[in-house]
Amino acid sequence: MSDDIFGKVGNELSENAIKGMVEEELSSHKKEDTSLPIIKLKLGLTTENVIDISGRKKEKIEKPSAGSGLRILASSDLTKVNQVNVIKLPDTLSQTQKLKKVFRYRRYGMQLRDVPAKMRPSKPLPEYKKQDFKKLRRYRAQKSTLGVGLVSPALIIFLLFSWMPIVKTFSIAFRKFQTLNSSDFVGLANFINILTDQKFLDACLHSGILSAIVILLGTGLPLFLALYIYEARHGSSLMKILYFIPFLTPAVPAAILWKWMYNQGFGIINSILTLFAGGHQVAIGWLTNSNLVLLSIAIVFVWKNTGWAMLIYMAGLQNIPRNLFEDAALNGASVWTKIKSIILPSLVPVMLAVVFIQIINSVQVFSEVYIMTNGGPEGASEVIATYMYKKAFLYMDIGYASGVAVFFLFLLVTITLFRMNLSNSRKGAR
Amino acid sequence: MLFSQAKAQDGDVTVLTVWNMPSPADKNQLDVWDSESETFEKMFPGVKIKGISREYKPQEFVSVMASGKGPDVVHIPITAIPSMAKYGFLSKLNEFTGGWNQKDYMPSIMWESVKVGDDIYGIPYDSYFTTLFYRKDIFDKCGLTGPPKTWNDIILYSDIINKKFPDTWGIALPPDIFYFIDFIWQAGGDVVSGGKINLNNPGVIKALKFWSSLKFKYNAMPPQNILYDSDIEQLFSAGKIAMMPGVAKRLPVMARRYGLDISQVEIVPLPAGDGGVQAWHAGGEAFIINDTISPEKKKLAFEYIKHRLSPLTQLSRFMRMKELNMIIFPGDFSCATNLINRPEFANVKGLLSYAHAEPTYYKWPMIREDFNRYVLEKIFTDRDVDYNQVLFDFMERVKKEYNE
Repeated sequence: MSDDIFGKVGNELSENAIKGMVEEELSSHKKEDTSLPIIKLKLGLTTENVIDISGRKKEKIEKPSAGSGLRILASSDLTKVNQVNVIKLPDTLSQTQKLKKVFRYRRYGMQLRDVPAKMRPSKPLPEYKKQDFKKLRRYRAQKSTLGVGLVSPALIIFLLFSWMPIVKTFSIAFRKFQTLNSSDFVGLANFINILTDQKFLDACLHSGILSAIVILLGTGLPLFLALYIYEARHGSSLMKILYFIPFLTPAVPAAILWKWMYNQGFGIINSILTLFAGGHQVAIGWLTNSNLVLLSIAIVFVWKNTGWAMLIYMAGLQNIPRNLFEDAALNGASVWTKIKSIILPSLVPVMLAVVFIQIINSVQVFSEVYIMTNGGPEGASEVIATYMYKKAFLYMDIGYASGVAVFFLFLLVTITLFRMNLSNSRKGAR
Repeated sequence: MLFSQAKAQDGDVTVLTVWNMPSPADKNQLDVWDSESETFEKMFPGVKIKGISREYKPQEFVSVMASGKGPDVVHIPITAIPSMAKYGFLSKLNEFTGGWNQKDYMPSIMWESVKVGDDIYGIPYDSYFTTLFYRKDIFDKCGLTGPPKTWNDIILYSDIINKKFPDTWGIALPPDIFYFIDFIWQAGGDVVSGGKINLNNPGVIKALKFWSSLKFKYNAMPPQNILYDSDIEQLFSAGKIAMMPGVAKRLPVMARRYGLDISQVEIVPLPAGDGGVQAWHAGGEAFIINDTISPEKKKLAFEYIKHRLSPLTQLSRFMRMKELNMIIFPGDFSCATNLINRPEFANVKGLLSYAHAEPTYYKWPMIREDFNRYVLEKIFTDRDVDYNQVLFDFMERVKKEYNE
């Protein structure tokens, strides 16, 4: 049947679509009308290439009788509304059935004209007493507040431990503390001081440089490892675990370990380099050279977070359809072409997520810097988080430190909003 | 806080919360601590000591005190007292110490360290002095029979050691004013003048030049940039340096952490400066009482401190530590006792005569931190540093930031 139709009316709707429509009509109207609906479909219809497969007469089609079921009309019965073909729905259908059909037909690309339905005879509403209305109101009130009640414990804890400190920090940022129990309101003085504080600006610069190094190292390396593991035939699970272990290592012992490894005099890194230096003692000041210290800290950060980023990339890689690679292979694409033309474009959203999370994490880095260098040498590794800590607990300038924290918060929120905006605009573009 | 106090006093028992209890892992120390607490509880039947194994850490201490859940009694470094007193955490103790006889047995320098103006905010607990550690094994191999007595001896000895063992250096100094300040005093300078911090004076410049020359001129120090105490401790423990300044109580830590053989280490006074000036600084910890507790509890807290510092308790402590074969250092005992006369402390006896105290100015810790960073780290990493310019810039910064 369908072959015949497609031969004559074209195949702008798929065979499956038409079959589905037919089966749907049959199943939904079999009690009301057992006759086969008339199918005449063709988008961009013209009279000559539409056929009547039921052989019914035109006038019958034009005025479907009650209980005749849905007729998908001949071309002449398709109504033009705003120059678009639509199909009438029979009046006999209930509103629910109509909605279902509207939904289903829209899935097949055909628009429908809404025909006012004849209401089915409805049962009379039961009579309610006044008390019943009260009960009903109470029930409704309970129902509407149930969600609030269930959410509120978690919400209170969240507000108490997440938002209250933020609000408190904001309020403290406008004060100057003489003692912890007595403070004066100083307006924006703390913020003005912060903006003119060279140490703070230096700390911001160092945080920025650290983030840049982390992005450079921490975006490519996990991707490379993810690709490697994705392609590995054996031992991929073991490798995933091995690379993920540093992420599970607490920051403090990791920092102590790396501090030893970086030691200029007897650290393992310099010792290994010495083996390749032709007998010369290598004594690179990884943590004592102002020009190297941020790189050294960034390496620790990347080492710790590579496993995590790698897993994110792995998840992204799993989502790329395999058949793309198969097609590319059939067409003789090289590995690099596959990476360039399939993997990288598919992973752009994942890469963006990784980059922004790395930025946010690296700007917040504290333990590694505090333990390995404490901001040294000569303040070359002082970052915003360590500066804030020292202002609060060494310099005991709580108001100023809170001001720095507010700046810090704004910085992180800006980065997050930028990321969300970028992500939304990408979705919009698609 | 009110609730916890009310609860604590139920059944006529007052609970006194005390920090600095040794960790359960340190069984011997805990044993000693427990016996001291038990004795006090017997003397004051209505009092229960609640020990908490927690050391002073600025962030933790400030947070817990600000929350009102701070300990009733704790000992903290004396250098922290001015800033903590300024922020209102510490109780004034003048009324308690006024009639306390034992006060007069404590070195006056320790009392100076716990005073802010005329008010006393702490009771000196232990005391220590910056000293020189040297490795007897290296000295013996180099034919050196005694410790260096002057700055010139340091240079001379280092040269001998380095010639004998090319990969071993004479001394290593950390860029930390905690040690550097001794050299300022030895050079005849000071860090306070006219009641204000002054780190730009001939004594400071002389000490800076000496430190820099040890590294860049005389090669007495390892060539690498050593910026952290831990690196020096590690090198000393490994026998890569023969001398280092230090505080005696660090030795057990170095033994535990880096495998230092303590039997090969001698503790001696720091060498004197060019003009033969002997000087080092006294530090230590002091008991403080939480200012937010009730007056009655403050009295009890002071009784507890008196008990801990009494000669009888200190002597019992000494005996118990001997029984348990524990390593004994002068710093483990109150400076109010005469234990310094014990033969074990012969080397450090008399150090008090030349001891100085760090300024008791609440901004001093901040200035110290900046000096380490912008002056000392610079002279150890830059061979051609202009001392006058560095100090001038630093003092300008201090004036601007700290109104000094």
